[in-house]
Amino acid sequence: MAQVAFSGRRGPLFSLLLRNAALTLVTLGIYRFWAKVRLRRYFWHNISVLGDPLEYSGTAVELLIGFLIVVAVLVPLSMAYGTLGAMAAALGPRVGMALEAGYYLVLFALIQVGFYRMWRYRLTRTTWRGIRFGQVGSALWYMWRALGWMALTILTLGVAYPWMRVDLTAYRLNNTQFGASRFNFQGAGRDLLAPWLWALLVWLVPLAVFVFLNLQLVTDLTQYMDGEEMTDLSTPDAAVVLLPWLAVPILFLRFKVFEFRYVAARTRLADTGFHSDIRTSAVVVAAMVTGFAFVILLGSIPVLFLVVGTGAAMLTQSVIFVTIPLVLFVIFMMSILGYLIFRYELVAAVCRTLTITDPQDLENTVRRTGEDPSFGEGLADAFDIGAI
Amino acid sequence: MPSTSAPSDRPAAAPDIAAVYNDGHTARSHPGRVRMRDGHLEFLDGTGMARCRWPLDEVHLVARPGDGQPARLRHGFTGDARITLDDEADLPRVAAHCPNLNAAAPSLGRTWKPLVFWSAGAAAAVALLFLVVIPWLGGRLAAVVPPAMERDLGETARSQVLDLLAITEGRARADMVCRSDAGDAALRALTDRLLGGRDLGLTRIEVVNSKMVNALALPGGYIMVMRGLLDQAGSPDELAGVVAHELGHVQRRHALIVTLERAGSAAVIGLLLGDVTGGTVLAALGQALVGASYGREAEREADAIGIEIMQRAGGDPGALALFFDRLRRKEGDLAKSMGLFSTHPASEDRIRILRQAAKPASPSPILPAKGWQALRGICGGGSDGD
Repeated sequence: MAQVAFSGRRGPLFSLLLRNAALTLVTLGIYRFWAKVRLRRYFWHNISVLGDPLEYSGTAVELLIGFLIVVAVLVPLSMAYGTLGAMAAALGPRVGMALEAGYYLVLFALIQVGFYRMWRYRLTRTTWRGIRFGQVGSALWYMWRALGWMALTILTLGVAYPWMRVDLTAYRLNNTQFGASRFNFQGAGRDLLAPWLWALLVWLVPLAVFVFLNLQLVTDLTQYMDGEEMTDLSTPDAAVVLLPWLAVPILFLRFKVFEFRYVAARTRLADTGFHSDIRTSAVVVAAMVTGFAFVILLGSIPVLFLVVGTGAAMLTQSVIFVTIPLVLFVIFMMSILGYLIFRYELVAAVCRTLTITDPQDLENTVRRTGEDPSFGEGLADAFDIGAI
Repeated sequence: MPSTSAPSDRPAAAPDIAAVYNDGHTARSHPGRVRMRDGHLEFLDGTGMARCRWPLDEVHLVARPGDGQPARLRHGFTGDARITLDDEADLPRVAAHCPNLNAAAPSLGRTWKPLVFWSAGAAAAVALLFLVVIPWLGGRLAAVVPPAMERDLGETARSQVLDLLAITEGRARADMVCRSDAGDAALRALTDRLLGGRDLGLTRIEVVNSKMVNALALPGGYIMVMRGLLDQAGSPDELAGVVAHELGHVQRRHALIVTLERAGSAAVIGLLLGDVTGGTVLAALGQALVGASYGREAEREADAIGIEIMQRAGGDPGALALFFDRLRRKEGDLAKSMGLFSTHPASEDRIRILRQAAKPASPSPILPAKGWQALRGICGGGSDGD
């Protein structure tokens, strides 16, 4: 029997997703906290390690309170910022752009905090063999690290990204606990450099060639920043030059898979080690099937229009009765398909290919004492990060 | 089942149930069996030692089993000790003895206080947003919106209003705007007279072939006068009063401000509903709901400017009060369609102020009888309202 097994089935998962979507729609979104808990329970309880299934013990009310905290604190803050921006925007386009850049910087920082707190919440709600996971460390410190690495990555045109990944992963994993034991990850950025450079070069080189061939465009953009009118863009060779970009998603997935195997191999929990054999092809195929399903779904919109509407005359007119229900239908279907095809396959593939060395040492783990966070994930919910 | 004696070996007892026990202290799994006796559920490990003894009415399922989910039991609603049955099919045997097996954890147990506190906080924040920040921000933002962008917005809104009215009127979209040489000339003459050479930001004024008794000011200085209004107006001064009022909205850019406020509200609602796309849908919905009313304050402003415009042009500002009065008497009919009052609530206050501004007819009418006839017939075929 496999050490790590996923016993999920697409049929029950589909009816669960459908039920969640319907109730979320009917309750104007309030049900989404309950929906998340149901979905997580499905995935957690269907993943068993050494024959024992994981348990998810989070509740919807905890998620709801986390959301309310963010509304109470974050919404007034963001509105104050918007007010400031509205008054400063009158000072000229450069001030406006600086403010916008500042806004995205703050957003990026908050998303990092949101991620760290989300991981902590989920780990503390995850139990295996009656022992809870956990996470120590500081979300703010993680945020500063992420900001610093982000700056360095931009300055080095992306070359520093593998070091960023290794450092942030190390901070996170070395603060992750199972019971009273801590995980331990030792890695080096240069080990991830080769697969990363492939993705980076295929992205960057065509862009450089494109910019070189379109120097006029750069001048126009500079003038635009100075407040002049934008002239028409002429980009005849864009299609040819940027063709290699089609490979970027595949190369990026390849990097993520490589990174996952690397992190698994370099992580220990006391004397227990991990090993993953997950293949890029499995993930790429899942992504492509999902993409294909999306294309079919989006391609069927005009047909749906004709079925739902009462003819071509309705196309431009009935916003409320045709367009909005259709948009909602497509959004919910895309979400459902995303779970049913891609995430399902990802979880299954990760479980199938993960092996644990010296698992008997896990039995010596004892529980951790101390407080766990009371509420969860408000920031993550606000920014819609963390899919499951 | 409680019994008077506790024999260690009962021949009639059902066989024990294979299960795994986790004590919540270490990650060691103890294989063994479960049995129920003396009102308790016991777990016996491989050596026959009893690892735990839970009162039957305090045994609960962690989650409803099925779809491969384990049949897993807990004691009370706190604590991490678990008993997981090897075979889900044995669960009914446990269920027969445990009355509260399917009881849900009290979801509001110790969380009701923070829930109430943060609900109040969130409600206060949202109220502050909708009642103070967004209205204030709307005016501020309107000041920095470039006129060209506002006109684009108005053009889009105009097109959507015409689309929507074409459906409700059952008329072709191309026939929605009324035109005739004499009618256009009369409308231009009336507008010129009201503007008196000033530029209040008017881009276009037009008559729309709709039976609604109403007039709309859209962003970017677009004014729409509905045919129903022309039909119901008793004199050029009554019509001029409505147009002057709409010019007041145009001068103060009320339509732009309302649009910005609505966009801000849609963004906040999108956040509350939990996704970005939800906000987009709501924004679309908001745009589709044309003719939302301005606030009381905006109406008072537009009235004041309208009265001033009418006085300058030598018209009778009080005529609008007469018009309102007459329409109110026929309100039964009007309630059927989107009437003047749905977008321009006519309070006693407003009518009193208009009436105070009334003045006797001027020697030179605001629109000559011939022009008035031409304007009323601009949609052709005479009036089918009334």
